[in-house]
Amino acid sequence: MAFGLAAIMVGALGLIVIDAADGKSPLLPPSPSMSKWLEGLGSPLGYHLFLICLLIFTCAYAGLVAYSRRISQRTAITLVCVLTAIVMVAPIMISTDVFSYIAYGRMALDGINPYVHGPVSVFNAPIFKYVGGDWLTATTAYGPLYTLISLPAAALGTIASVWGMKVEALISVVATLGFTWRCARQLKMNPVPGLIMLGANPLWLIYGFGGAHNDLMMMAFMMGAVTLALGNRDAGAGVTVVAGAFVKATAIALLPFMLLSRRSPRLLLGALAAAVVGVGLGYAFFGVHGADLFEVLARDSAYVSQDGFPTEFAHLLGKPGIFPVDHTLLKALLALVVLYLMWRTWKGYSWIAASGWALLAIAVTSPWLLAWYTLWGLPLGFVSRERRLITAVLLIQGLYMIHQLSPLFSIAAAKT
Amino acid sequence: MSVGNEQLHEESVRWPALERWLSRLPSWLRPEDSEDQARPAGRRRRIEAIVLVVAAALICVGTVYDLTREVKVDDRLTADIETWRHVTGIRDEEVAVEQDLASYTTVDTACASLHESKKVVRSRICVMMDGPIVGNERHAMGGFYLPPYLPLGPNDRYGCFGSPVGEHFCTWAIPPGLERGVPKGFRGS
Repeated sequence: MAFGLAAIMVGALGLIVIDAADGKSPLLPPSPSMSKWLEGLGSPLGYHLFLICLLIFTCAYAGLVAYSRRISQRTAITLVCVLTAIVMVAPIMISTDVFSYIAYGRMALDGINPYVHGPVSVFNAPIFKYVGGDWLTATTAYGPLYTLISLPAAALGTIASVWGMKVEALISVVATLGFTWRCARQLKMNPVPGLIMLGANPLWLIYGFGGAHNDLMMMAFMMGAVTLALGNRDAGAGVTVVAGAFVKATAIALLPFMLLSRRSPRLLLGALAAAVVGVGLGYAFFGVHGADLFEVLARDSAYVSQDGFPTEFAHLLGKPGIFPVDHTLLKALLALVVLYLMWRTWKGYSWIAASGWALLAIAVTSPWLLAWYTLWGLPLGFVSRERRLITAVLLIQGLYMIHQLSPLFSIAAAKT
Repeated sequence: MSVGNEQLHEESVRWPALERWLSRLPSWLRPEDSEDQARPAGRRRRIEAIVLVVAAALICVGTVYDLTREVKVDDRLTADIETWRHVTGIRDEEVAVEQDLASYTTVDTACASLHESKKVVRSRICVMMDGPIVGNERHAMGGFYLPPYLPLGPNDRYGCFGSPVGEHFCTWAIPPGLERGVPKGFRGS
């Protein structure tokens, strides 16, 4: 049973990657040629084939998750390694974000502040032509630690820099899965279901790792902080969670729940020390804009994507989309949810589960929703053994994928 | 069932002074190390479950509704492209369709370039469409021309045909040497 499901997943993912390597697909952003040795094996990846493979992969994944308690550690590790290796050799899929990361690194190397200027300021750089059209003038939305970590990869040539980012993403994948495994061991749980749930997740593999997104690095810091906290190394946990926020600000969502539950002076001091160092680094390298994480959050909260649940709900109510008043209402709703979760944590609820719920609430109430945002709460749900959270995260991921299926049913796709 | 906090901070070093102060708070305000020490949680969990189920149901309905809406929009845009090709008689050109996002009507504008040679664009022709899809096409209301490489701005339109003529849609005098005239496939509005 498990081998059959695993074979289906490997086959479906392999087909996507082989066809993706052929290039010329609306699902692939213009990208430097990275998978030449796979060219010619498949045909250009179309929406139909991609969505059907994604559906087959997801159904097999659901079966494997349900069956995961009876899967051996060796089988689970082998499967996750094979799936990860398949995506590693693929070209960049779905999103152009990784080219923006490299462009921001390139700018920093050239002495241009990526917190003040957009990638258009390095229009002569070879990577510039791959940056997404919507982001040419957008300043970086990521923390100064991430920008500094990106520098070595950005210093390389065009293709090598993309490979550098893929290696960074691979290290983040291994770290996140490794920390989740370690958390399960610390809590005397079977780590296999967690490994399958996260490491074989279609959105994790195809959208997250396939696009080499820095959310994976943020999640590695998050799970590192949880591992340290479970090992009663509070100072390290505080440092790590704040360091995660200097990769991507969303990671800070864990901190209030950790502080309320553990009430440890070491945790607070660790977090404060990391915040001082992070702000100092940001200021030293990028000036006042590099030190202000909240400026970026305020800007990004104004974006709207077609896949966001608030947009879908607005359409259901007959509205054409999200208006400024809706942004305010959504922020108020999120604040209420977070306050309730903080109160529950104060009264003894698991801070790990509360953090996972908070991250899920951020994704669901955000008008700007991307596939990899739905991953944030998943390892926390597993580690906290909160079945309602795991169910909610997987349901949200399922609905996100269902929303992607419109090309399967339209006349347009039938003709292509 | 979630992991209780008692499993997570057995050896956590806390501030004794703070803990002493917190222990003097009234019981409803005092922090607990696990939910077991709190008041019976059955009713609260039921309320939470109801809220979660209602939220999930709303999101499910919203997603399915939006999926069907997107399928309809995709089909409409495909019909727009077919209509543009029928009106202009040009088949091998990449057509871009813009929706009316200002007043949210289903009037779409499909535009594509008219080439002088492979690399030189002479001008762009736009066709406006409304109404339902009939035989994979929509009703062509009319259209206009644009100079090459310019966006769909109101100040650059010229050579209107069909209903845009009556609506004074074209504010630009016809520039010399640029494409104009009613396309052969346009049957009038």
